[in-house]
Amino acid sequence: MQPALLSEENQVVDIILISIGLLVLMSLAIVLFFYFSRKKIIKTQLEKAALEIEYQKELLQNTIITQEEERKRIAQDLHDAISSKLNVVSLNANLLSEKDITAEEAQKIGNSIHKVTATVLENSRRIAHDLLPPTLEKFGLQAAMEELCEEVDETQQFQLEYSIHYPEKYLSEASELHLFRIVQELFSNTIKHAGATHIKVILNTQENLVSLRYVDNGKGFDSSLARKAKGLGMSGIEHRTQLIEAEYVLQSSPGNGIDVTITCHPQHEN
Amino acid sequence: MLDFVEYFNNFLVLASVLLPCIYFISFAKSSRAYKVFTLYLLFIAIIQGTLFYLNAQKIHNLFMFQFYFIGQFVFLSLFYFELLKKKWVPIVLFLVLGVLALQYVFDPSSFLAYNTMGVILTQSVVVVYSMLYFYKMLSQKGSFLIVNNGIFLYLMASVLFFSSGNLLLKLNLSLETMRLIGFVNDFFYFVFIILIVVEWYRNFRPTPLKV
Repeated sequence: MQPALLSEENQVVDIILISIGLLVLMSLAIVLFFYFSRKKIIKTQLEKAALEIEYQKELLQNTIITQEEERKRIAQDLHDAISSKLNVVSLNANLLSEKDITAEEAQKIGNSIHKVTATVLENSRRIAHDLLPPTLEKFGLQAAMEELCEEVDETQQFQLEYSIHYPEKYLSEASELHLFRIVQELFSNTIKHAGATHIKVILNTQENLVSLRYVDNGKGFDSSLARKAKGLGMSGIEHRTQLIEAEYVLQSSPGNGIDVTITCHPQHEN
Repeated sequence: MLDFVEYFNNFLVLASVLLPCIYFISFAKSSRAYKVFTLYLLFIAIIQGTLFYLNAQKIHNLFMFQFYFIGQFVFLSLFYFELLKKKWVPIVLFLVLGVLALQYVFDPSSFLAYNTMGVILTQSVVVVYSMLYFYKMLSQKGSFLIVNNGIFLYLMASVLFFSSGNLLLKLNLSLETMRLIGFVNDFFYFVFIILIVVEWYRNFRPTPLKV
């Protein structure tokens, strides 16, 4: 074999080997790229999942706190409005059982017992009503919302404007209760914290869409900070909107009141 | 050096025959992808064994190469069909087989020659499948990632080796140079085998039931 041919032959072999080497290097680069990307993507997914879990935990904690507060309030109500009054009844009944009592006194005590039991009855009715408004169960969301608005309006603290259009049983019972509680909570927030003079409540039903809008002109708050410094009430509302798979938009800034819009689709419900 | 290459080659043949044996251990209770892959290993073992026998008998064995790359393409296509779950994979399989059939019909002599076009076509398609599997696995967990690495690396390396086959044969290289180039291919095949064993050991070896 001539030397020139030999070198040509070697060159071809070299080129082939070098090309194979380069291809392998490229493949290795692709494999490494894949593994690093995968690591990063899985890390991001894990972080997201951890955040989600953290959020769920926070919600759960808030739910428990709200539940405890509610129990405390009910206990307080029962004690103030029923137990203490029944004590008076019991004392009066004791007096009645004494032998040296005049008919006039007995009459007086009887009247007192009658008056107090009437108050107790009224109070227990009110407590039960607060816990679960019978109107909602018997006559549906439209009637219950109207009743709620009338009750709030009767306090004469605000100028209340409301418009409720909701066909009977359009959403499931659970969703109706959630919507009702949300409005209750919004009212209670406005009454407790906002110092508003004007409230507007609109519940509207269009094709496949139930939308609730609640606007007040109270103090408002910084809605960008709301996530961190969220009071129990607002997180409860958000939680409820998640349960009924509704869209929840909260707009608020200090001094400008709040504007809440909740939209839900009946087909999202199970 | 030549002796070592010879021994290494024989070792690879032995390893190729042993691979389907270990994969058969968990055959019954595994996924369809696993079964297809085991059949692929069995096919490779048969090819390697036959090549070894033909070599020993000094019989011309280039035609076996056709079976090798076409069979490899069919099995790996079915394997990736199970992994990727895409309906177009069998369509591509039939298209490529159609192209190869046409080639053999119009040029029957290519059956006994070194089919560069066929090798490049089939191996590139499988490399594309393995890239797609990488992409699919970016955000999820799944088996056969290690094997996928092996297929990707080995096919990328060997596509050039096999496609330069005609050129190498024409050059009338010395036996030593041919063996050296063969050794480079064998080395990547060895890496491929190791990755297949690692995959089996990590994901499919029988484990005692934990109570």
